[in-house]
Amino acid sequence: MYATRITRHLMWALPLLALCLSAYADTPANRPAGGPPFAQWPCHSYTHPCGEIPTRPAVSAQMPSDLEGDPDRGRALAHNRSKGNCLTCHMMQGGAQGGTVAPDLSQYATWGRSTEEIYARIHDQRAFIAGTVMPPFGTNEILTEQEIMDIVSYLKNSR
Amino acid sequence: MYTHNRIGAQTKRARVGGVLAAIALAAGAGTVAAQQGGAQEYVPFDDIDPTLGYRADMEFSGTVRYWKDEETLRQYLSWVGDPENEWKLNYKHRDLEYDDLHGGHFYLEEGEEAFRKLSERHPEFPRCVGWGETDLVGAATRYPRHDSETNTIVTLESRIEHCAKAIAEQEIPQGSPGNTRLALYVKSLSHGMPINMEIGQPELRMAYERGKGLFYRKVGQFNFACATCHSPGTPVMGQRLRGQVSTTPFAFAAHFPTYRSARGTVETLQTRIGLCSRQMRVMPLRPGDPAYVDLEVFLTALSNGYPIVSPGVR
Ligand code: HEC
Ligand code: HEC
Repeated sequence: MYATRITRHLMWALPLLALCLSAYADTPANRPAGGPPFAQWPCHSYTHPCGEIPTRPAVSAQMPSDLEGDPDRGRALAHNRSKGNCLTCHMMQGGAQGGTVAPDLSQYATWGRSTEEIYARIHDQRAFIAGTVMPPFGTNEILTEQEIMDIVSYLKNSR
Repeated sequence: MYTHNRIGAQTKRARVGGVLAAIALAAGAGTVAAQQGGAQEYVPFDDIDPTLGYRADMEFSGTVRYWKDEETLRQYLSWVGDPENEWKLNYKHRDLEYDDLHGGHFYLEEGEEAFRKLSERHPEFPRCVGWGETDLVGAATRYPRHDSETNTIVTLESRIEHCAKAIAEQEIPQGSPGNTRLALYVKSLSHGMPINMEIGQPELRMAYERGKGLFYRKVGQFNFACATCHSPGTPVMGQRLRGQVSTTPFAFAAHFPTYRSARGTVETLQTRIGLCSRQMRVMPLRPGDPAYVDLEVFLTALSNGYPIVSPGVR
């Protein structure tokens, strides 16, 4: 009796845990000099210097001409929770449990957007829509130029 | 007593006009000049009347009509498990399981035992936690409160830390399991009683405004604000983020400290804020940090009038 009740509670809350830990990327790069995680990004503190860090302004990025994207790597990156994690908000080709926050990108290649524009939007969607909820993946160094190129190529192949 | 009085709200608004004007400016422009020259981005502020408590959600997400009380919740129980609708219950259907045995009850028992031992050896301890009253029924409904002697804002957890040190010479820091268990026990003594933080008190009102500023400010590597997911003004609330749907921030405070079945521990409102900050890739702060106290005041104001559920489970 006791045990089944406890188990029922356990089952219910598992997705919650998954959410809270999914995007947790406490990597060495996010822990400069062994300090607290994410201290190089704007935070809520009144005393720690991160409380004074301004938001990085929106950037209209130029696509690097010397990089080739790989659609398979791009798909993996876009679906990976600690990398692009685009599925949190978007539906995408080959992705399960896509989010309903943002436009469905499953057939994005048919939208007629240029490669340059897609690159710039992933780099920093704020340059197109001020106040967007989409993270500025390039400006805030969540993804490298090469990783963005890979995702662009995956989207260019989504039809 | 808690009342909702719109005329009162106007005068109080006038009193903290300076703060409000600064924040309104920030909301209007979308960004505000930071002290050191850069700009900080904000999600546009919602027009919430904090003197309305949880009822202000009527003009906010409107979902309060489905979770406002037990009877209403029971009418909508068929929504549980339906991703389109379950979030509209604000996950309050879990509060109906208060009578079921869950892990929170074990922690509560331990908390009661620890509290009894402390009080036997130090009879002044309960009076300290009760702010001069030894009967602690209802005591938790009044926190966070302003201490005019030290001019600080005191949460239930920081009060327990203070009283343990001042009276029993024991270190029971907030955020520690020992502190959380005691807080859970004290909160449970107010089960079913409406939260009654004194939002008309000027210092608490200022803390509310600061907390609101933090809630709407974009932070972290993802450039999210709390409001990005918890305000109907953005496209996120009520939508699926993978399997999860975020809800209105109203009445969040009612069930904390809450038993998290997935983690198998009891967590306070502030430990929860710290955990979700990591998810936003924001530097988490320690429980009791002044910024988290302000966020707690903001969220508690949005819970005013809602009955406490303790031990709560999520
Ligand atoms: C937090 C939610 C969120 C996440 C995560 C997110 N996006 Fe978006 N994205 C949006 C929203 C919302 C829009 C719709 C326009 C707007 O409001 O900016 C959008 C728009 C876009 C567009 C432009 C569509 C057009 O109009 O041509 C592209 C491309 C895009 N997202 C790609 C991505 C990729 C790739 C990722 C992962 C690396 C990603 N998004 C992650 C929320 C998100
Ligand atoms: C990326 C989206 C997202 C962001 C950003 C976010 N949250 Fe949440 N939050 C959620 C989801 C999803 C849940 C679980 C469902 C719910 O209760 O809303 C949640 C739950 C909570 C809970 C527990 C609610 C309960 O009843 O148990 C609190 C408290 C909370 N968030 C506060 C905050 C605060 C404070 C911030 C800013 C520091 C924040 N959240 C930022 C998505 C988010």
